[in-house]
Amino acid sequence: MLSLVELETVKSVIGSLSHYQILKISTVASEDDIQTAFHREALLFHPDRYYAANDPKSSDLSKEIYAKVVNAYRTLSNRTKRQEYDRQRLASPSAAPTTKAKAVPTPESSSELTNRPQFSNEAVADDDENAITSIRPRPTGATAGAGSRFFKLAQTAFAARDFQSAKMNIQIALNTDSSNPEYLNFSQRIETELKKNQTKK
Amino acid sequence: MSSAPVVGIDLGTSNSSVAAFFGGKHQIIPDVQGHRLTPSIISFGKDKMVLVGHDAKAQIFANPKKTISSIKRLIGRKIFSPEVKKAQTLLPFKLVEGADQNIAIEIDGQLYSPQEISAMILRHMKDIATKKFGEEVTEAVITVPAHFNDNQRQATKDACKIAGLDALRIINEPTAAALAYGFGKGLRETVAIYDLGGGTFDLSILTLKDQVFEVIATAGDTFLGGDDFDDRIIDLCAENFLKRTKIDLRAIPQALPILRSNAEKAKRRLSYAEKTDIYIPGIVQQDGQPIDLQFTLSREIFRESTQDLIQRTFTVCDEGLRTAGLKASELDAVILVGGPTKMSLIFEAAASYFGKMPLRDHNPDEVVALGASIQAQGLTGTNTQKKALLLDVTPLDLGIATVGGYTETIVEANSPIPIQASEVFTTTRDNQETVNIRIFQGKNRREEESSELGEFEFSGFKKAKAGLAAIEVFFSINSDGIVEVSAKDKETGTSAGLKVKLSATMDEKKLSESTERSNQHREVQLKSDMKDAQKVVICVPSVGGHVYEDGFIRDLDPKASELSVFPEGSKVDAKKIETSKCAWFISIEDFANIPRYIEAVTQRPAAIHNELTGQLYQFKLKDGSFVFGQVDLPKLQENGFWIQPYFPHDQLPGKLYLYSSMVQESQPVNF
Repeated sequence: MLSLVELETVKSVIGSLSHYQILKISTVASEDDIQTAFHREALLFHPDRYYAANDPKSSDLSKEIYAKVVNAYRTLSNRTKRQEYDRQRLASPSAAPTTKAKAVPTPESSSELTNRPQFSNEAVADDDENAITSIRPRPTGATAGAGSRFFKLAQTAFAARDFQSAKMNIQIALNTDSSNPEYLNFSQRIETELKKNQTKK
Repeated sequence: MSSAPVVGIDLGTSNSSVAAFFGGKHQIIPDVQGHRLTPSIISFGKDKMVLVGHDAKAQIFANPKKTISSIKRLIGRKIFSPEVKKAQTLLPFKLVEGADQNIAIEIDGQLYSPQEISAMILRHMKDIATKKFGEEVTEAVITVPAHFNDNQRQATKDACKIAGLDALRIINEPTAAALAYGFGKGLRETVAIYDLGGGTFDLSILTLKDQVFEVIATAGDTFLGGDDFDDRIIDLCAENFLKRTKIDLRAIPQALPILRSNAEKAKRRLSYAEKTDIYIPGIVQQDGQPIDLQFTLSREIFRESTQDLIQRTFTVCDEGLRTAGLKASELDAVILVGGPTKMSLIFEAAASYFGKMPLRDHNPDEVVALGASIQAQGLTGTNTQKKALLLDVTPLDLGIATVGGYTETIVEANSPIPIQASEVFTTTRDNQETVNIRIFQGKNRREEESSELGEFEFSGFKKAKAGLAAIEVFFSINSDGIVEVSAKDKETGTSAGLKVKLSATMDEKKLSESTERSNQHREVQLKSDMKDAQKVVICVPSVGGHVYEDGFIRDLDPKASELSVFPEGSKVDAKKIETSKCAWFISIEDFANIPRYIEAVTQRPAAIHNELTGQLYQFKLKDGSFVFGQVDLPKLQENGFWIQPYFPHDQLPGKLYLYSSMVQESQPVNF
C-alpha cells in the first residue's frame, strides 16, 4: 500500500506509460510473468487495499491507477490483443491508442440501418484526424485497430446470414484499412453469398 | 463505522446463512434455536405479521398462496422474461406486473417487490447476528451467483438497503467459496468451484497465489439448480399417479407443495440410501374417496431422469474451461458448493468429469457465508492483518445497441473488475440536442437475447454541426459488478445534462417507501411442541444393509425399549422403533446434512482434527460396520453410552448414542 504522495506521483506519470511499463515487465514477458506482475501491481493499487483506510483521496487515486493496470493486463494477457498492441506501438511508438468518434442515431431517426454507413463518410468532420473514415494511403497505428471492430461485426452478421449488414460493416472496415488481406477476402465471401441469394430468386 | 462486527451473508435461493469472525475464527452464527441455515421463505399472516425461515417453511401447506419461497429466482428480472414464466408454473403464489415491467407479488391486496421480500430475509439474518453480538449489526458483505447481471445485483443491493444493511460489497458465491477454501493457507493452485445452488449454477476457475485470489474464468446458468432435480421427482411421481388414476397432480395447486416437500426429502434420502419410498396418504379425492400416492424411487431411476440437468452443468463447465484455456486435468482441486452438491449423484458425476475427487473438507452449505465473512473482515480490518485480495471478473459482455439488432461489446465477459472503458460518440444531425444510448448485458451479440440494463440520454452539450460534437462516455463496472455510466463533453469537459436510467435501480423515493412498508411488518415466531424435540437419525442394521430413520423425538430416553419417532414437521402418529434393533442414533442439527453426519461417523477419519479432546475410538459392530467417536472411558454399560462423533474440519454439532448390544469390540485409534 502506498502513501498519498506516492499515489499522486504514480498518477501523474501513468498516462505516458506503455502497458509493459505499467506492469513493470519486459516486452518479451511470458503469460505467467504477466499474471505475476498483475498480481503484484494489484496488491499495490487495488482499491480494496485502501478501503479500510477511509481516505477518499487515496481511494480515488487507487481507482484511477488500478483502471490503467487492469487495462494493461487485459490487453497483454490476451494473445490477439497483445499482438495488435505491439503492432501499434511499433508503427507509432509515441502515440497512445486513441478513441474514435462514432455517430449515434438521434431519437427521431427511424432507420438506423441507413444511418450507420452514412455517418462514416459524412458525420465526422474532415479535420478530426482520429476519424475512422479519414482516407490515408497507409493507416496509422492509432486507427488500424478500428477496422477490426467492424470486421468482427461483419463476421457476426455473416454467421447469422445477414449478408447485407455484413457487407456494410466490411466496407467500413475496408475504409480504415483498404489493403488488409483478411478484410478483402471476407468481402469476397460476402459478395459470393449475396450473388447466390440473388440467383436463387 | 459501528463497532459491531461486520458479517457475511449468503442469501440463497433455498437457504440463507450468516457468518462472522468470533471465537478466534470465522464461523456461522446459529440462531437462538441452534439452526445454522435459515430457509429463505416468508409467510404472511394477519395484521402484517410475518414468519421467516423454518416457521415459514412449515406454512407451505397451510398457506401456499401467501408463503413465498425461491424469491432469488425472481429478483432483478422482468415479468416477461422466459425464466419468470417458467417460475410461475412452479411457484404456488401469484406474480403480477409491477412498475416498469418489474415483478410484484400480490398478498392481501398489497404488492411486494422481490427486493422487499428478500429484505425480510436479510433483516432476519441481521437480527441473528445482532442478537449474537449484543449490538446492532449494520454492515455486511452479501453474496450473489457469479452470473447475476447488473439488474439482479442492483436489486440485491436495494434489498439490503430496505433491510437497514449497508452492503459493503456484493461478491460472487464461487469466489467467496474459494476464499473460504484457501484463506491463510498460502496456496499456489488452480481450482474450480462447482457451485450448484437451489436455483442457479456457476462454475468459476481461480488461480490462488498466496494472498491473491484471481478469477480467470466464470460461466453459469442462472436458471438451473437443485429445485430442478426436485421437479424431476415430482414428474416421476405425477406420471406414475396419472397412469394409475388418470389424475395429473401437477394441475392441482393444493397438491403441489406437499408433493414438492416430499420430493425434496426423497432426493436427500437417496444420498444415503439406495432407494426411498414416497408415501402421501389422501393426496387427492376421487368420488369422495381419498387416494394415496405411493412411489418407490431408486438412485438409478433418479439418475436417469436427471441426466439432462447434470449434462447442462457440464456444458457450462466446458465453457468455463475453454475460457480459461485449461483442461480439467490441469486443475489442482475441485470444490463443490451448494446444498444440492451433497447429492451423491452430483459428487459422482463431478468426480467423473473432472477426473479427480472433489474436496469434501468443508460444508457446502456454509462455505459461501464464511467466505463473505472473510472478505468483510478483509475490507474493514486493520492493516496489520494479512488480507486476501479478491480479483474477480464480470460474467457477461457489456454492450450498446447498434445496427441491425446487434450489440457491440464495450467490455467483454471475464474482464477483470473494477474496470473502465470509454467510447467517443458524435452526432448525425446538425444541432442535435440529445444522444441516446441503450446498454445491454448478455452472453450473446443479439440484442433480443441480452438484458437491457437501461438507456441513457446525454444532452446539454454544445450544439454543433453533425459530427463535430465529441462526447466521451465512460462505462465502468465496479467491484460489486454493477455498471456505472458517465459522460463528458470532450470540448468543454463538462458532464452537464446526463440522465442515466438504469432499469433495475429503485430511486430514493421508491426505496424509502419500500423500507417504510417493510418496517410495518412484524416478525413473529411460532410456538411449537416440536421445538424442544431432538432431531435424530437412527441406524437400524437390516438384511439388505443399514436403514436410516430420521425424525423428531420428544423427551429422548435412550434406555427406553422403544423410541417414538415423529416424521419431520407433521402431526401424524409417531413411528415406534425397538431399541434392541438399533445400532446407534445421532442427535443432529438439521436433516439437510444427514449424509455428512453418517459419513463422519462411519468412515475412517482421514486426519486429526486439532480440537480432538479425549481418545478417539473405533467401535466394530456385530454386522461388520464401524462407528468412530471420542469418549474418555468407554464403558460397555448395560444399555449403551454417549460418545462424541468425530467430525473432521466441520462444525456439525451432535452427539451419538451407541447401543452396547451391537458392539463387538472397541479399539483406541492412534495416528
